Amino acid sequence: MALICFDHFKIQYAAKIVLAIDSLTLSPEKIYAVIGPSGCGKTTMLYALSGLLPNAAKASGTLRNEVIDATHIVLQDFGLLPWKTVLENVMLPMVLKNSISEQDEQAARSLLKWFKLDDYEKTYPMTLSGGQKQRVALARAWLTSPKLLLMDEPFSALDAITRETLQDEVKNLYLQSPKSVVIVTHSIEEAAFLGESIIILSADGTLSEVVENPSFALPNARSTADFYTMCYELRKRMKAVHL
Amino acid sequence: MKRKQVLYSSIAIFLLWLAFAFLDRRGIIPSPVNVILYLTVHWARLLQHLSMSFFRICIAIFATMVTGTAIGILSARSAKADAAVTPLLYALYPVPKIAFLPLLMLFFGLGNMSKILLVSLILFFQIAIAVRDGVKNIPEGYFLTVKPFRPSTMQLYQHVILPALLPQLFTALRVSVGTSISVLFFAENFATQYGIGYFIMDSWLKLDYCAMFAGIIVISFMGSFIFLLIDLSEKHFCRWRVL
Repeated sequence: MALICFDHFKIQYAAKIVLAIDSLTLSPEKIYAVIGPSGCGKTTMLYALSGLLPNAAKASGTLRNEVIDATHIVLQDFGLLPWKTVLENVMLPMVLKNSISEQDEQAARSLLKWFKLDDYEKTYPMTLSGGQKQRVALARAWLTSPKLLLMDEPFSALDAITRETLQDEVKNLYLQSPKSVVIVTHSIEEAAFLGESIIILSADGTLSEVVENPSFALPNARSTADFYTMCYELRKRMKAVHL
Repeated sequence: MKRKQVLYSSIAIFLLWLAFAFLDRRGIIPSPVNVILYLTVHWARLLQHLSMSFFRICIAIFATMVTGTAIGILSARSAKADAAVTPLLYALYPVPKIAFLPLLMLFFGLGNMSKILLVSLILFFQIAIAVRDGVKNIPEGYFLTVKPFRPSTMQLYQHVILPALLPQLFTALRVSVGTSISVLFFAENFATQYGIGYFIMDSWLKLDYCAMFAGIIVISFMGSFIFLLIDLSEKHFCRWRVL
């Protein structure tokens, strides 16, 4: 069963085509990494999947997202409201849907604990580090238990070690309770580590290819030869796409 | 402000004043010691005038906070309202509102209403324009953050627009309070027996410079007190900012 289906789907701003995918199907309960040169429509693709496209964007063709109502997007700048505490930010979706229960708050607290944020419940985002802010955004994403989770360059603003730690946390959470995830990234290593399948977009917004990633399921994947082969392969294909 | 800073600036003003009073051979500038003595004797009378002015200013601030914010938000959020309201704001803002005092007195009587309205007219434009620009400048990211959860219009105001706007509103208030006190001083010169403006001008006409300077001190304290109130409410309502 297909979760998402692109069929001659095109998005343009005025006369400029930013995304043009003729045919692409995504299956449920898999992590897809989307990679491609800057300006190839990666973020636009996520916005289209989550219904966040600005009015100026004109879409044609069809894009079917079976779970549009249960789609959650983690924005590039973390998407936190600075006037809400960490706990309030995590609970924001429930507050806006007017459906806060004791259990939600319990769940929020245990997620914050998992992300090592239990001491920061009442803190405002401005005093948090980049990695902590990203954890808050991830905790919120998991709390809504979405059927489809979209992430827009989620770790690009973080230092190398924090980034790897968070990548591990996301992968572990995913392995515990698999869900459908699409991660947009510009890092080849991140795509090779987090993507079960890797979608490569060309500079003109068309689909270049979808690569299966055999190193994904390996334990301690970063230090396996398969991981390095994957990175090498991806780098080669990215170079071809850039030209 | 720290207590020490207040103390130092008070002492500086006192000494400067003392020097001027000493240098002024014609006795127009009374010695600060005499003025303070005057204050200790006549404080009850001054308090009566002061409370009248304070009441007028507070009503004007409150009324314009509500109306100015409403009009400002309206023109920022709706292109139609903006097209209708902004030319009006721009045309009426530069008109010297003081010139309307005779009209206001004819329409609304000689009492408090015309004076409060005059101050409100001046505050209104400053707040409406600051609010309009403040709302227009709210980063798109905050709206994107809540958009997937389909907030109602009320929720959008409660969770995004008003909190994002508050710091700007406090700045606008601080800027306009100074102006509004000067205008109130002017308005209180007509058709009233109460108000600190009346007290100062009345003392001047009686050539009682000691009383006049006591009035000036009191009006300065009233201004400082209002600024303090604004600072305190900002600290309370904008806790999330690292102030």
